[in-house]
Amino acid sequence: MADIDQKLIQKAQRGDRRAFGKLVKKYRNKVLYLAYDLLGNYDDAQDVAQSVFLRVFSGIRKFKGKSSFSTWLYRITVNQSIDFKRSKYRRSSVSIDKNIQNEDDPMPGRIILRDKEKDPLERLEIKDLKEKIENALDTLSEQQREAFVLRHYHGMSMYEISKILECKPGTVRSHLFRAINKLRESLKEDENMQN
Amino acid sequence: MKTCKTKIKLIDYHYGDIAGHELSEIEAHISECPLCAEELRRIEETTGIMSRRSRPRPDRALISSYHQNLSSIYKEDSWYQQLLDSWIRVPSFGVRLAELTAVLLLGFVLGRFLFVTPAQQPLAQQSVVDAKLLNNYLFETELLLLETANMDAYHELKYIMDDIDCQQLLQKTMILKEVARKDKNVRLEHLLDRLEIILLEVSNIKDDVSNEELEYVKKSIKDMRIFSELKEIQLVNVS
Repeated sequence: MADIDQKLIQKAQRGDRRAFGKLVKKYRNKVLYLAYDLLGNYDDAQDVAQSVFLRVFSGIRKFKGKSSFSTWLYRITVNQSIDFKRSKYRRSSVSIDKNIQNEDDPMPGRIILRDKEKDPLERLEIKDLKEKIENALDTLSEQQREAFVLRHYHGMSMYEISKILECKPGTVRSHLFRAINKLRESLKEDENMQN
Repeated sequence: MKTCKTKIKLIDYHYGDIAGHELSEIEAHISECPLCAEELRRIEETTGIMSRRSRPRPDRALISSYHQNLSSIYKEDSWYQQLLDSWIRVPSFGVRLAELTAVLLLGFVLGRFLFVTPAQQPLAQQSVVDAKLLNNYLFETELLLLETANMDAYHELKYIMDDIDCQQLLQKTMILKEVARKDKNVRLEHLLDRLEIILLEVSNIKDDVSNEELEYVKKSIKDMRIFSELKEIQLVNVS
């Protein structure tokens, strides 16, 4: 598998677009699903996945092969997802602020978190398990979510995740432990609210 | 709040990242430590619920536009370019056979143009004998025969025979004849036949040779008109 990637990368580095196309076809779904798991919707995931491959295309000559191609690709996906999330958060805050300003909000410039927009009653109406899980995932910090998604939904080892997130395996373990604790609390809280 | 330092390792244990000696150690610890046993139960319960998450399938239109947008990055070739490419890069058996035939035909045609037929070849090229060796032999033979044809007395011939050994020339003639026969070089073989006869006559000249016998050998050499042919072959070999 890695040998095939190696050959395709070497060809792509020499400007072979067909070889690059084969790499794209091999990894496009994995990148899309990882972006979805990190962002929570396919529209954003698609934008991120496209920007990931654009970045890979422009930087393939710089890829030295110190880590595996998939690790490099997933690292770019994670970073692009974080950037996208942050820029979207900034944009949405600004637009909400503008709306609020238009409505003569007494507290202009306030930061509005997405989760806090939801009314507790509205949250009580969420009965579907899938939604409960998505909500629980949303409560995780960026690093906790990345560690959990990569380990739990993409089956990567602690070592691989540490390479993708550029931190020590011990740190990944810690993020994962905290993520599971937080998920448990969220699910429990949701359950209590429903009851 | 009670805690256990092994707790953090439960994550690795849960995901099967622990093996060997460490695995048996942690299993033994879990069976003894109620805190870790409870923590493991919670981890399993939480991850069990999280595993029930099913990622929704993306919309077909979204996937289609996603793939289309990606293909614009590496600009996939059109179908006819791909077909042409596949013929050139991964040719079928028929295409390979046609290629082989074309190469053989080309080789044959080039051979016809680049290499002349044996009948048109110069003697030295047709023969496997080295051209330099043949030329030396022809030069020495010519010299000996010229001296013989122009001498007035035997002692003049003996003078040149000190430098050129007639017996050796005869041996060389026989060897060259053998090679020319194997080479099917008829022209060279015929020339060597004639040279052998005349060289035998020259080698038979003794101190007590009579003037009549000497004149007979000289006449034989002149009658053979061999010098022009010797010169011609030498010139061909040099060129």
